[in-house]
Amino acid sequence: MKGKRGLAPCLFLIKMKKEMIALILAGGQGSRLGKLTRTIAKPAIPFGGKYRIIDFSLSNCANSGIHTVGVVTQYQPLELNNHIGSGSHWGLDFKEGGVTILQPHSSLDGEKWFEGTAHAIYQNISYIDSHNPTYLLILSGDHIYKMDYEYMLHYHKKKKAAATVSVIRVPIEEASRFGMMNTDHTGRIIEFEEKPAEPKSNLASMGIYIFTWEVLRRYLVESYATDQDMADFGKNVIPSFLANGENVFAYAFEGYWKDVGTVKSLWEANMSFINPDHELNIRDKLWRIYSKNPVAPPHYLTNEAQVRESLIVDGCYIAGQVDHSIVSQNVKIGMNSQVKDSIVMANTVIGRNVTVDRAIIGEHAVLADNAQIIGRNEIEVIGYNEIVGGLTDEEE
Amino acid sequence: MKKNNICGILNLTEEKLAAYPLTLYRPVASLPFGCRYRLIDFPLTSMTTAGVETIGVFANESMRSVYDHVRSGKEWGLDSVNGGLFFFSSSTAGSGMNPIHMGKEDIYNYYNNIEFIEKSGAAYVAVMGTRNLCSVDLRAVLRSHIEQGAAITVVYKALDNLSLEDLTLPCMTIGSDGKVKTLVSPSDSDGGKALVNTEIYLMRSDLLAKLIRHAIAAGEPCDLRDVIQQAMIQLPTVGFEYTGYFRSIHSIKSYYDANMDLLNDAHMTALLKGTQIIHTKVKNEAPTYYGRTSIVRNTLAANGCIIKGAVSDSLIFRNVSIEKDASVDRCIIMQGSSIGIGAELQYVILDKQVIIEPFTRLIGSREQPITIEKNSNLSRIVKESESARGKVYHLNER
Repeated sequence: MKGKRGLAPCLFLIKMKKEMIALILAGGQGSRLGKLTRTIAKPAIPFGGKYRIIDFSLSNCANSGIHTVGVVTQYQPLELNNHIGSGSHWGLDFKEGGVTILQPHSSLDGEKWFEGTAHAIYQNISYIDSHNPTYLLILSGDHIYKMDYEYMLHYHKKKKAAATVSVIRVPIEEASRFGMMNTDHTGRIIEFEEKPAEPKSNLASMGIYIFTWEVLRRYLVESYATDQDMADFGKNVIPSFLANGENVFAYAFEGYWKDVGTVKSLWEANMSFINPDHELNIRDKLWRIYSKNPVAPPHYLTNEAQVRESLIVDGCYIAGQVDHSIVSQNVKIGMNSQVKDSIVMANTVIGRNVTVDRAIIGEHAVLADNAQIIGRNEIEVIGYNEIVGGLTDEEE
Repeated sequence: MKKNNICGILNLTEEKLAAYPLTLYRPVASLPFGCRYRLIDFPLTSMTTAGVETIGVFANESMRSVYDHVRSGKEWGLDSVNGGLFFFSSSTAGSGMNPIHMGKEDIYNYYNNIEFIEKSGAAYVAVMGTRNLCSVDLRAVLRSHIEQGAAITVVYKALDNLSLEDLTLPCMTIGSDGKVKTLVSPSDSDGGKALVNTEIYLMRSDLLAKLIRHAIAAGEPCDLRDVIQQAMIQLPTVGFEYTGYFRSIHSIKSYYDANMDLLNDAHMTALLKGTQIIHTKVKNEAPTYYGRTSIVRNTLAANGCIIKGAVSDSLIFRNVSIEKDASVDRCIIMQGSSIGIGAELQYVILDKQVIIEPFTRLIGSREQPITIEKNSNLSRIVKESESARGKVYHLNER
C-alpha cells in the first residue's frame, strides 16, 4: 500500500474485473476467542467501533477493483450472512458477479463440509468455473490490513508464477508461530516451513494467495480423484507445487497486518487502533474501509461526561467517564461509571457506578448499576447479550 | 392498510431568503441539520414509514445537493421494483441562483407533470415541504382523513408563546365542527394558542389533479401552496393536530434554535429516537476520536471527527476537526470544517468545509449567531488585519 499508488487505477479496474476473482475464506471458528466466537464466526467479530473484521478484506477487494467475490462460510454463518447481505455496503452489488455467499451443502456425492482451506476451494469449483477467471485470489476473512491486490497480481504476472504467496516480515522470535517462506534472491519460494522451531527466514505467509486458476484447478481435481490429501494451502498445496517445480513466488507486503486470533491480540489491536496516527490510516478517503452502517442519531455527551483518548460511534449516550476505550454504536454509559482500556461493542447498556477496566464487552450486554468488570492479568470478556448484575466478581 | 395507498409530493419551492448565506447554494430541503441529517430526511422518512412507495420531488431550482443526498432513495427503501423517487424541476424558473425568480409560478411544474399524480395508482396524495421540521405519522393522518370524511386534511401544530419572528407563519382557525374556518396570521390569534399550518396536506389524488387543472384554467400564475390554501376554505377541510416536536425553519435564528433543541433530551427523543427512525444518507466515516486534551460537554457529534479542544453546548457534524486549546461554545459546526489551535468560537454557525485558522476569535450572540459561508477560509481576514490574533473579530452581517 505504501507509496505505490502510481499506476492509473481506472485502466486497471476495467481489466481486472475479468481476469481475477476473489474467494474469502470466512468459515473459521476462531476458538481461541472464547465467548466472542461462541455464536458468530470470527470474521463477523466487531472491530474498531464500527467495523467487523471481514470489512477489511471486502473493502480491499472493492478498492482493488475486484468485482466478483465469493465468501466461503461454514461456522455460525447467520450474523456474517446478515452483515454481508447483497454486498451493497461495499459497493459490490454488481449485476454480474458481486458477492456470493458459498456455504457447504449436500449433493448426490454426499455432504460437502469444508475440511480445509484448499478443500473449500475444491468444493466450490463450479462457482469459480462459472466466472472463468484467469487468476484466483484467496483471502482470509479474519485479517486486519489494507492491501491493493492489483499490485500483487501485477507481480504474479511479471513473475509468470503459478502461485504467489503474500508474505510479511515478522520478528524472528515470533517466526515459529507462522508458516515461513524461504526464498532465493529473485523472490522465488524454495522452501515452506509450517511453524518452524528454528526459522531460516523472517517472511511469514499472510494466508493470501494468487493462483493461476488453471494450474490450481488441475492440482485439486487430480489429487481428489486419486485420494491424495490436498485439503490445506499451507500444508498441502504449496508444498506440492514446490515439489513439482511450479513457479511459486513470495510477494512482500509492507504495512499494517494483523491476525487477531486471541482475546489478547484482539484487545491490543483495538487499543492501538484508537490512536488517530495509527498505521492503518482509517480516515484515508482514497482507501476507505466500508461497513454495514445502521442508522442512528449522532452521539451525545452530557454535562457530566468525560471522554479522553477514545473512539465514540453514532447513537451513544455518554454520561460517564471514558478513557482510552472504543465505544460502538448505540451504547449507553450511565453517570459515575468508568470505562478504561476497554472495548464496548454495539447496543450495550452500562448503568451507573459501573467500572469497566481492561475488558471486552460483547454486543447487547447489560451491565447493571455498580457492576465491576475488571481484567487483571487477563482481559475480561463479557459475552453477547450477557447480563451482569450489581455483584462484584468476587461475590459471584 | 394496503401499501401504495398514498403517493407523496415533496414541494421544495420554499422561501429561502431569510436563511442566507446557508441557502446560497442549496434549497432549504438540503440544509444540514442535527449533525448528520438534512431537512429533507424528515418528510422522506415520514412518507416511507407510512408505506409511501412513490415520491415526486418538485422544485424550481437546481437540485444538485438534493440529488446528491437522496440519490436512488435507497436509504429510505425507495429503490424497490415499484415506485421510487421522481424529480421534477420547473423549466419556467430562472437561474436557480437568483431568488427573485422563486415561487409564484410552480403550478406550471405540477401541471406539466400531472401524469405523475394520475399514474401513481395511489388513491391519496400527501403533500409536504421541508422547512417545517417535524416527524408526522402519516398513517394516523390518513385514518383521521377517512374517519372524518374530509376533502382535505391539514396537519397543524398548536403553539403558544410565538416569538416575534414566528409571526409570519401561516395559521388557521378551526370551527366547533373540527373544520378549518379561516386562514389567519398568528397575530390574529388573540392571546390563545396559534394553530400553525405545518403545510402537510392529505387528499385524494384526483382532487389534487383537479385543483391543479382549475388553477391553470384560471390563468393566474400561482404556486401550489396558494392553490391548496384556497381549497382549504372552499372545501371541507379537517385539521389534524400534531403534538410532537415542531419548528418552522425560516431564518438563521430559527435554524440555530432548532439545532440547539436537540441538546434537550426530550426534543432529541421526540424527533430522532421516536417511533420513526429518521433515515439519511449513510457515509462510511471512522468513529470520532476524542483526544487526551478534549473537554466536551452537552454536545452532539457525528462520526469521523477528531476533537482535541473544548466543546460545549454545540453540534458537531461529520469530519470536523477541532484542535488543541480551541474552544467551541454554543456553535453549529458543519461537515468537514476545521478549527485551528487556540481559536475561540461562540454562537457561530460554520457551513461546510470552513477553515478557521489558529487563534481566530468569532463571537456572535444568541439572537444573532455569526454565520460563515461554505468553503470560507478565515485566514484571509486574519492576514488583512495582523492584530486579529487574540482580538474579538466581528464579521459584517450579510
